[in-house]
Amino acid sequence: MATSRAAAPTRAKRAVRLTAGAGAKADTRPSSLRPFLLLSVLMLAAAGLAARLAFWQVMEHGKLSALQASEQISLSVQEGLRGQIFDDRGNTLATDVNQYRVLAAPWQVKDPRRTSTLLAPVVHEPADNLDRLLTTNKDRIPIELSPPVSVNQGQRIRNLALPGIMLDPRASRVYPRGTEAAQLLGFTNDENQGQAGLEQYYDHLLSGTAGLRSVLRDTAGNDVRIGTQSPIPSHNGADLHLSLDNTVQGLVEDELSKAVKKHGAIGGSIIVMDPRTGYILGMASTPTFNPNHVGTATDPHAVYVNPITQDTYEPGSTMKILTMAAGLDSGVITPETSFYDNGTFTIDGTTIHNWNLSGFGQENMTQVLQHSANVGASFVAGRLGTDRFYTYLHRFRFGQRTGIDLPGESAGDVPLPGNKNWSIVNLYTNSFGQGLAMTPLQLTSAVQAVANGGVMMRPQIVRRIVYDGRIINRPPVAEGRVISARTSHTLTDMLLHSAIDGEAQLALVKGYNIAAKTGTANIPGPGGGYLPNTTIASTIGYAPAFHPRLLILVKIDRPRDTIWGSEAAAPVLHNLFQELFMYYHIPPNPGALNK
Amino acid sequence: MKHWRNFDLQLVGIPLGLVFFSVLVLFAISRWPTSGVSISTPVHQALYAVIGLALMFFLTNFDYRLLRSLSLPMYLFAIALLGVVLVLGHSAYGATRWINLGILPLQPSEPAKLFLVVLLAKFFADREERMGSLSTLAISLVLVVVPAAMVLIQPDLGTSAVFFAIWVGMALMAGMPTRYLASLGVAVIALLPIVWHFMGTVKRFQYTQDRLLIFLDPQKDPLGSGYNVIHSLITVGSGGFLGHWFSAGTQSQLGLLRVEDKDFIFSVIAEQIGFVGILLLFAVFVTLLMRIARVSFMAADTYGRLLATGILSMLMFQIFVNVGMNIGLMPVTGIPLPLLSYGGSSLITTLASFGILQSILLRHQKLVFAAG
Repeated sequence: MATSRAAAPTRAKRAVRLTAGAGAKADTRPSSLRPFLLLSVLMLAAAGLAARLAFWQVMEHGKLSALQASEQISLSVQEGLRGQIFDDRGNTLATDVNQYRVLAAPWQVKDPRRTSTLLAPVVHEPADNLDRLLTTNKDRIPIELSPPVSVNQGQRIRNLALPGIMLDPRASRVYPRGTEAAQLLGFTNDENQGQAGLEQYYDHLLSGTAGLRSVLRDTAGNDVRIGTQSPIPSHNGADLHLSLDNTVQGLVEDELSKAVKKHGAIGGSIIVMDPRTGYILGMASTPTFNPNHVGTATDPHAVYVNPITQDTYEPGSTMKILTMAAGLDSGVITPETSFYDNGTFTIDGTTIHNWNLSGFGQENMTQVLQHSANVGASFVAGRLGTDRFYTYLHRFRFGQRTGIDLPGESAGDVPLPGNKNWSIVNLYTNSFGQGLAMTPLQLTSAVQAVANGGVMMRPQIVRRIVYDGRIINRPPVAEGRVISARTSHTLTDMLLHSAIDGEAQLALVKGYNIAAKTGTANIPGPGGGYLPNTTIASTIGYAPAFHPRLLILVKIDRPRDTIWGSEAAAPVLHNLFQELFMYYHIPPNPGALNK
Repeated sequence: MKHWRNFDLQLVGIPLGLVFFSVLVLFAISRWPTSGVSISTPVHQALYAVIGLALMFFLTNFDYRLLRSLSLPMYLFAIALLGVVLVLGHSAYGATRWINLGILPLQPSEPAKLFLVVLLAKFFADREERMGSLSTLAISLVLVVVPAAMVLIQPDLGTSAVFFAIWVGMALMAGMPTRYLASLGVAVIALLPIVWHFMGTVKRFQYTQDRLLIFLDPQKDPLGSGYNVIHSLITVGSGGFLGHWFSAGTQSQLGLLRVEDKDFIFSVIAEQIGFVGILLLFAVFVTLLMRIARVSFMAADTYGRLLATGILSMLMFQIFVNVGMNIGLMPVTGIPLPLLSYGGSSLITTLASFGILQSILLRHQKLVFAAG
């Protein structure tokens, strides 16, 4: 206040001067008409605006309301987002991302050269290609200029504001881990519908339910702006949480491709299962494909067929586990039952040989497994007889689907007595895995029952489904008891012992009890009989024996440097067991037979 | 020497009523599920109104004649702020107009309008005897062109035009010879094609050019630049004679109109209150402008008269251009509707100018009218 008072005189003086000046001037203002000019401008402008408003609001009201109605809302279908797929540790295996399709209406493009030059670095296509697309397409049909682009790229394209270039938003399926578990996951088509694998099997759950949304459409029918409220909301699809473990899957795929390469094989498959539950921990086949680029895949079989559930093979000697299980469980043999193996066995004019074309002499049942003797297996089949043998095959679910949650599962082919393809010879050849076809999964599933105290579990991949916040667990499913717990224990013990000095020894890991059996299967040729020197080499094993946590089947198709399962497949089993024991913190057993 | 009996209640009551209406409309818009306007918009607007009212009452008590000596520093301050915007301003809708001050995003071109009025009033008052001189014309034009150019390259053609409108109104009332104004008008029209060509070659002006072209033919780019022109018209037209009075299912509630809280609030209001309501709103605005014109007539000195004239030109031009662009009479140029559009800088500046007007009224000495 003090300051303002001190300044007051000056202010007052100035004010007086100003006032005087204004007063003196008042009468000689250049024109007293000017204020009226100002006022008339004001009035005229107000009248003009009112007139214009009257035009729009009163006279054109009907027309504009009609335009409003025709233009604004229409309903459009809004797809729900497709559910995601996660592994057991929550890693994303399949997800939807928003992308844009880059479309061009060539007849609207004013300067094709400039358009393609500006677009080329954004869509990563050569400018010349784009230019050609824009100049050579004379039909009035929008053309797609490049593979779908990301939201970011879309924004950059929008910023270029090129006439005739349009962006069409779409959700695209992306598999962040590329080829990993590709055949298991499958893929989706352009409409985001599952075409193979889990994507196909669970399509009804994964695909969201469409809703309706209100959109503003222009006269050309394009969506202009999408309302934030939907009359019928869309629902996103369910998420799948697999029992599959990403780390296990990675190891499996590494080992498989190494082995296939090393042995010059045409392909192969590996299954890792938890024998206590039937859950799949890892599963892979080669050759495979990249589900992100299905369009460019060269091998349709790899893309559409999962060899583990859809291709069948004659398993060979791994089948002897189940023949032995039937023999022990029905009581026709014990591990100590012995007979003289002279190397051949003739039935109905057909002679069966051992793999080394010689005899093993006096041998007990454990030694039959150890030598992988066909004559020994035939001996057991003979003791069992047709009825009992095929009853057990039925109990092990050969010739029936396992019920795994994957599409198009094959039931295999087991000719039964009474069938025109069956003769008594089948009983004996079946006992060592010939003359019957099964999927790798069927064999694994049967051995799983042996490993799991005789109770067969249904193989499953999806552990949990999450839909709209609700969790639907898929607990292990017991298919029933196949053999007694005692048989299971006895057979595991035989497999354990036979593996140590036998064919499967390369599969073993020091300090662990591993029950394993090799198989070298012949491949039926096109004209009957088997292909010469061409085999499917396999080994199946589970560990730790008596309390198994891992069951692994390794199958190598047509190895070149060796034909034997013991050489092509057993070492893969060894590597996987060694790595997985560490991964699952399975301690070595101080009392293990294999020291 | 204040005379509180000269206090013009209408000059406070009308702005207050309009601001209150603005907050109500913004609140209604924020409740529409489709709108992008959040509840914080009316709350902020009310807050800005409180700040503006405080400033208004401060300026009412503040002797406007003291502004005369402050006018040059204020003007230079405004120029400096506009310079800051050009260097580090924030962009919205294709133009850089804001400085982020945290709570209040400042749009310096708004106070700059008022600061220009304050300086031009001093300049013309000082040169009252020499209004016919060419130097008066030249210097006053320079004073306008500097901020106008700085705003134009933001680019903000509308606000830049407001600066010139202020100049024209004040020069006219200060007694500038009409032949100057007329020849200037002719020169501008003659230069237009050249300016137009220049705008086409400079990238940042293509935005402005687009908007002007769209004014001539909104259907040229109905989904881009023409979108708002078309939709503001549909919105206004949908109001009809009596309006919808905030009932459901109207055009503006569909969320199709953009910047419905700022430049296009008039369309929303027009749809809601209809033609009859809009006539009433016009009457309110015209009354308000007449009250400002009254201040100009009653001012004790030339300086006060010119101040009031400048404020009148500023508000009048903004109201007509904004309403005009909402009903397709004017190009869309980003001018807020005084007291109704959402925006702190504009609202506070407008309320402050009403404080200056009251200050002029309280200190006028011509008691002739009051005596009667």
